[in-house]
Amino acid sequence: MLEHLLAGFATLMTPITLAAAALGLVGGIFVGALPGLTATMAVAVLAPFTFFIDATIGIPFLLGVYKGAIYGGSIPAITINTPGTAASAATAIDGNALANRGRVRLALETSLFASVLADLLSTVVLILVAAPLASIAISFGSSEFVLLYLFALTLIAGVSGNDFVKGLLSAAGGLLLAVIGLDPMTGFQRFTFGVTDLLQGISLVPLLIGMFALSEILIQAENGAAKSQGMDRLGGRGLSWRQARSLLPVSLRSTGIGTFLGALPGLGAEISCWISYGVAKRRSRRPQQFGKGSLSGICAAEAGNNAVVPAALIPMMVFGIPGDTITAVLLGAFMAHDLMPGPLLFERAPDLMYGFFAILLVTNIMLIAFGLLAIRHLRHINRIPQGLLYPAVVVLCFAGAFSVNNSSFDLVIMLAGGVLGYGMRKTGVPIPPLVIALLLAPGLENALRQTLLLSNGSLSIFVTRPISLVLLSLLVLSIVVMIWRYVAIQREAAQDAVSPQMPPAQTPSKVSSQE
Amino acid sequence: MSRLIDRSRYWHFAPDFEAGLGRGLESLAPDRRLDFILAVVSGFLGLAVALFLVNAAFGESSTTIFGMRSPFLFPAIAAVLMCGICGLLLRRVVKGRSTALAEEAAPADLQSAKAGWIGLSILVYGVLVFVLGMLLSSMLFIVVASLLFGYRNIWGIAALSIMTPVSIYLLFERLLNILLPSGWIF
Repeated sequence: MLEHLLAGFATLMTPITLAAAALGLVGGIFVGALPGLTATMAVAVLAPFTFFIDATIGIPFLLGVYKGAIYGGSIPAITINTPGTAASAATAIDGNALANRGRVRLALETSLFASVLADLLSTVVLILVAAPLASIAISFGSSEFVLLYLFALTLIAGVSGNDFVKGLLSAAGGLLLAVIGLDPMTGFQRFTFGVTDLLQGISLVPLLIGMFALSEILIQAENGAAKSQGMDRLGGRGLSWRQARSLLPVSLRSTGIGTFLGALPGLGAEISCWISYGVAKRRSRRPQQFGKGSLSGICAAEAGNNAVVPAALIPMMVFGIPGDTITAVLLGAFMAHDLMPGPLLFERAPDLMYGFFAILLVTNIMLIAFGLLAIRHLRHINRIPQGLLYPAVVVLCFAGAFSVNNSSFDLVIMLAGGVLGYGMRKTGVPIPPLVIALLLAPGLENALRQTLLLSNGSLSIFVTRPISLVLLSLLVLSIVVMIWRYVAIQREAAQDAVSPQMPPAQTPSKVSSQE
Repeated sequence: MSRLIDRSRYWHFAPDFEAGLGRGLESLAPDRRLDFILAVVSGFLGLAVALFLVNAAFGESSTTIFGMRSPFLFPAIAAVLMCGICGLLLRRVVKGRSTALAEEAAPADLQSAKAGWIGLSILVYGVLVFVLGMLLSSMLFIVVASLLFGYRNIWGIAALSIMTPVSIYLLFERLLNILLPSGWIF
């Protein structure tokens, strides 16, 4: 493993790759710090630019954007109580409380400390886990992949959002979109309605740009600009070594939570930050401090969301199964570069894969430098007027969506995606299940057909192979848990309906966006 | 017959729904109205897909249509799922139980009209791209959209409307050698 990592360093430590990663990181922090521009949107809009340059430059750039945007979201969360991305919503609670007490610098540096530490540890986990997992996964046959895909699908439909039925609706919509086009096995035209552009299926990146970027802009237009002033003074001293040391336990715990949740498909940074914040509060010796500017609170939220970034790459790189919407977009970018993520990729191009890991490590060190710079200079970023920002983003969306396949039909798909995404946001239907189902369904269909070809149509292959059997039991378990949870929620809702008016449940996120 | 009577039991649980039927959809609580709309959409999609499949199945051999390896399998699953979801949502509407955790309430100063105009301008931009070409239509779009977003600094708009399309043009067509949409005019 070490020699692969060194070889990876050797492959990707070229000046131009490092520059691309640094540029991505700076751009990501910038975009993340702008309220209303989400991390998914940033990666989706910028992905097409990278399709035309070498993977050793394009992918590091996107990884930098991803990492930067998740961190950048914490800056406006702390300074103006408006999370730049949904992943920083929990950071806003204590971060802004501390900033209001005049300790802006302390709050921002604590968030940077937690982000970098969590990211670093989670990257180490990724490096240690990915290759061994891939060497196990390489012995997976198509039957195992069928179950893996099904497992990911059920997990995603079950956990995305508060509403199981709407999550399922979203996933079913994704399945429906996925079957459009020429059936690869029989050549049967499904739902093409004679449109030749649809034969190849729905192009993913334009659809994602529409769903995440265009719809977000419409939602932001509806909500109006966030009117608030930037913090004018940094205020006092930053984080001291002693404070940082005392924050280590909570950082480590939150990193563990974030890494675990990130590695499961379906749970992104925006959920992880709340869970690790909640755990930190419960385990704290001074829970009453939470919400009033507790350093542990900032630390837990930020470590919780940044640890997800490298961990979410584990299922994406090893199995080709995206963990959340950003990794779904990244998966699209990998595929556009002819790098089909999966266990084979670790055999085919280990240097490149380890090179990406190396980039993740190096961008961490960069994040310290750029983060400190951002703390000094990005506090006023929210003063960029919406009226200048969003029109320029729309133009970028158009240019990007068109250039992916040089197709004007892709612009239609992007616009349709925008309408669909807007409708889904307005009706509270979560977007992630749709995107992930859309990505997983073709793989699932192929794997299922291959499996049945091998077994002559018999389903017993799923129980006779030992790994299949283990995965099948996991799948059954997750479905049982999901149904049990659904029934419990229904019962709770029934009780609420009987009891007199309950106070409205506090909703965690202040931003409308779904990452 | 006894089943019918049994069914009617539901209506007693939801007298407000029963009353609401007479007065139209507006009288339903917002979350139930939403569920109803989603139920209609999912039911429509499910039925449409099912009809499409039935229609496509004519003239195909039964071995193509049935079985796990059929191209019909996944669309059929989607159709069944959609219909099932429609049923679940309708049940929720009738029983008066909606989402356990309500989504965030809409802010009072929602500017739907503004969003509508901006949405329209994006659509018009999508058409204009193929008439005027990327460069000109982008300039025009930025001016219009900035004004719609309520930005009034003329110099800012002018600078942005020239700089953004030109830099995108240079980046794509000159640096990256990627074609941008070209129109009839430019």
